[in-house]
Amino acid sequence: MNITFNFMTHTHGERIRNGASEEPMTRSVVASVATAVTAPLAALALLAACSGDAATESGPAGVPAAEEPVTLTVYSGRSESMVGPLFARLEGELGVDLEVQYGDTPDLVTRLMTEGAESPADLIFAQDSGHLGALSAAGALEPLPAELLEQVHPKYRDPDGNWVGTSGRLRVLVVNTATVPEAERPSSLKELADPRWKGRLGWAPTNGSFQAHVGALRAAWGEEETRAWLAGVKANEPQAFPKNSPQVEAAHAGEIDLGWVNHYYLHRLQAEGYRAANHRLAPGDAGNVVMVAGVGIRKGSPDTEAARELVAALLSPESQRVFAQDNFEYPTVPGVETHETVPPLDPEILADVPQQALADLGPTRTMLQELGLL
Amino acid sequence: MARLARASALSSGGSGLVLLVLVGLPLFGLLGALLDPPADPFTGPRPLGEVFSQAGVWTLLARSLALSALVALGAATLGTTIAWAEARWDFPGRRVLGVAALLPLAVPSYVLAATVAQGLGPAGWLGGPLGLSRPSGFWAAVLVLTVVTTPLVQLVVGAALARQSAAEEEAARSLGASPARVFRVVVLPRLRPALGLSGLLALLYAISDFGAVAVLDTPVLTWRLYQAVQAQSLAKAAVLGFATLGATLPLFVLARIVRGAAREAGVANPRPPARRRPSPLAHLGIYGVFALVLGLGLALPVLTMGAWVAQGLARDLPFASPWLALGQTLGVALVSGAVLVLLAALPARTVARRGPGAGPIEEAVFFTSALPGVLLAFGLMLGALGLARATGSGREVYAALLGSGLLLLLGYAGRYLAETYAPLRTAFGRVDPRLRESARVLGATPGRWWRQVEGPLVAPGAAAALVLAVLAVLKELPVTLLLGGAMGLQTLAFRVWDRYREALWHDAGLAGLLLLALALGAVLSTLRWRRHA
Repeated sequence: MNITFNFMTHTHGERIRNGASEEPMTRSVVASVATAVTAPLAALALLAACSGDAATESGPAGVPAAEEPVTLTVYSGRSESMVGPLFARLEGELGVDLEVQYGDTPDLVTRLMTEGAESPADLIFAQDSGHLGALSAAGALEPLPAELLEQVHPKYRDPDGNWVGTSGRLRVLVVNTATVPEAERPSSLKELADPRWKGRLGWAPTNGSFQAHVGALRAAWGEEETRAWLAGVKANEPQAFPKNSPQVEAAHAGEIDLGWVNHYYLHRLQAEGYRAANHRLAPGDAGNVVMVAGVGIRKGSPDTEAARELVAALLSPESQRVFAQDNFEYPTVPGVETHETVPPLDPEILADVPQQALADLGPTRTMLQELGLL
Repeated sequence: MARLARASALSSGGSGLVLLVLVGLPLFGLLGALLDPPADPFTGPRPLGEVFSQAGVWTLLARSLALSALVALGAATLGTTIAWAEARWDFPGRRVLGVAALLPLAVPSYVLAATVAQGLGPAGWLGGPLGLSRPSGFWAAVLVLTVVTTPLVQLVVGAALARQSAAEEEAARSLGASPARVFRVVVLPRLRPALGLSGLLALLYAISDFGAVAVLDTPVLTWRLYQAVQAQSLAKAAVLGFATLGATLPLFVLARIVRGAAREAGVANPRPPARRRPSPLAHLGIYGVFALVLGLGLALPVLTMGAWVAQGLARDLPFASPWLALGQTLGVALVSGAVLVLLAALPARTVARRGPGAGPIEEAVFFTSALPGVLLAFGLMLGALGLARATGSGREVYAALLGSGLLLLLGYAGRYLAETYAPLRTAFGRVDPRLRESARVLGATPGRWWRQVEGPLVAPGAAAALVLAVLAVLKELPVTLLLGGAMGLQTLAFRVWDRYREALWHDAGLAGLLLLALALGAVLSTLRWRRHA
């Protein structure tokens, strides 16, 4: 009865009479919604501001700019461990704010393509040239000036001039030193299809470097030969790894005798008594391919001038030394020394394949899928 | 009573709105990607039918369902066993082991998977001497996910056991019922809601997990979905994402059947049954269960990461300073945890009071957590892009949505609403409707009712919800990576991932141990709540 009564007589007067008791409820709902939206945003903004300050402070104490510094957003497929300290230093040197969005290179490319004109990215710093090539072919990159491009060897830059290599990793074989003596180590990648390697191999077909390298093989050997070779290696029942580095450890542990990797992981893991070693193939072999990490400017970036300065800074001798000494990579600008444990690389030993071949991932993936490797 | 009606309508409306945004925005974005897929820069556009037929949806679906069902079954068995032993048995080390068994909750699935793969692998500190082969694939994923979800079951079922009274069981026994019959007829019906709820949480955790299956290379929906994102095929990713969502629908029916019609009203003053000493065989069994859960879920990751750090120290490798990451992780987790509790409290209160639409609201809450993090993040990003483009100044609006942290918060909220909701729902369920009636008759204002009655009753549950939410956000990776980058967020989880993919084990180990320490702190703080429950 009471229910009906109250409900039916809910007039204006009733509302006023109930006002006092209703108000706290309404206010608490409004307050909680407001708190829910604004407080965390403020707190998160504060956190971000703190991190920004910290990053700026870690650079050398520069002269404070009179105007607001330019903010550049970099999509970095290179890990924070490799480029974070470098970016922090360049921020101070160039007087720009760098906002770095880290991620796997393929994800960031997906993101950049999806975001289109709305993308906050000014530059993309990719772990491999394959994805830069795809962005270049899709017309998503701003052409770079010749004076930047010409600083690096032609094998380490985009023939169309839209991206430039900043450092490289050589594709090599990693072998277990006990089970694969010097004399038995292959001189050509082709030998991996030989049945004597049955049950002894490792590879990483889902990995970006693997796929880019298969693109290079298609250019060097042709479609049919590449397919036959992949099928031959597959018949040797290689152990599939999700990425490169575990193969190095697997070779050390004797889990595999031979893996197909980039050169630099070994130098990190190497210690006394390490039972894995890198093995280079014969000069000119299709296995000798450099995976170039590089940078390009997004077409439509409102700050191309500042972006070019950042590209130039990544090619400076100081930055190149960071890649060589801290990351065990090959510098792309001539005249910078490699790490003492890394044998120098003469670009002449590299396979004669154009950079675009590494970017031709579509047909490569189709081939891998048809072979049941993806 | 009009106020009551309007208050619940408001509360239902609010819950509906929260859920609409959390479910709607990412689905809107993903649907867009499905209907108008962004061109694959490597292969160009492909018709949807071809994408679907090549995605291998059915096999992946079957495997994902099998994985999550096995995980739920395993976690329910192990978790209930531990909770039961803890509540009913008397054995040396009961309290310490019971608490320690909750700690695997603090270990992110990808960290456990990485340490299992490495520590138990042929090159690992344990796998090497034992001559084990590299753990990977389906069964390794089942094991890892079971271990990390077991504590969820232990928590929820343990709380339900604590509310049971000896009186009913004694009555049944005095009427000549065998122990098995007592368990089936008296105990089990009271446990069903808790079993259903925690089993569902474990199921959803397993089906939407991406970390463990990625590290262990298990071909299930989420891992293939992530690989599709990596291969620039958002359309394929969306197809697999919707398949994941579709796969969860029968799970809800299943969970409903398990929960049954039983209500967890319980007894006003529960008197716990007397503990008894288990048989020697049961004794051995329970220690075995503890050894499995603690050995795999806690000792292995701690020792493996400790070994990584020790190796780094021995070889004088440089460690990056972890303090900023530590501060950011803690800050983000606390802020987002508080937001999650506020957001989850709305539907929890509505459902507990059986407000309008309580059933669908509860299902929708669980539905949110079925969307894998990667896809949720991409969905939110796409949804925000769509909204931003509609405003005309797309770049600025989109940048503001990302830079303000709003999308990040929505991501966390969508991902962990269900986990936060569960303890809150139980807490609000403890508010007896008769109390409310009395308060109303006595003329208490809603403010006073909240301060003096509802608030204190709900507080322990809210604290538990906060801890679970904080714990979840601490460990979160894909959403943080995709939506937190614009704010310069580099949490400990980010650092573990960043170092792990570069094989910088020593630095990954340090970040992982710190993350674990934070998470352990959060788990240990639930203990106080457990005593209240």
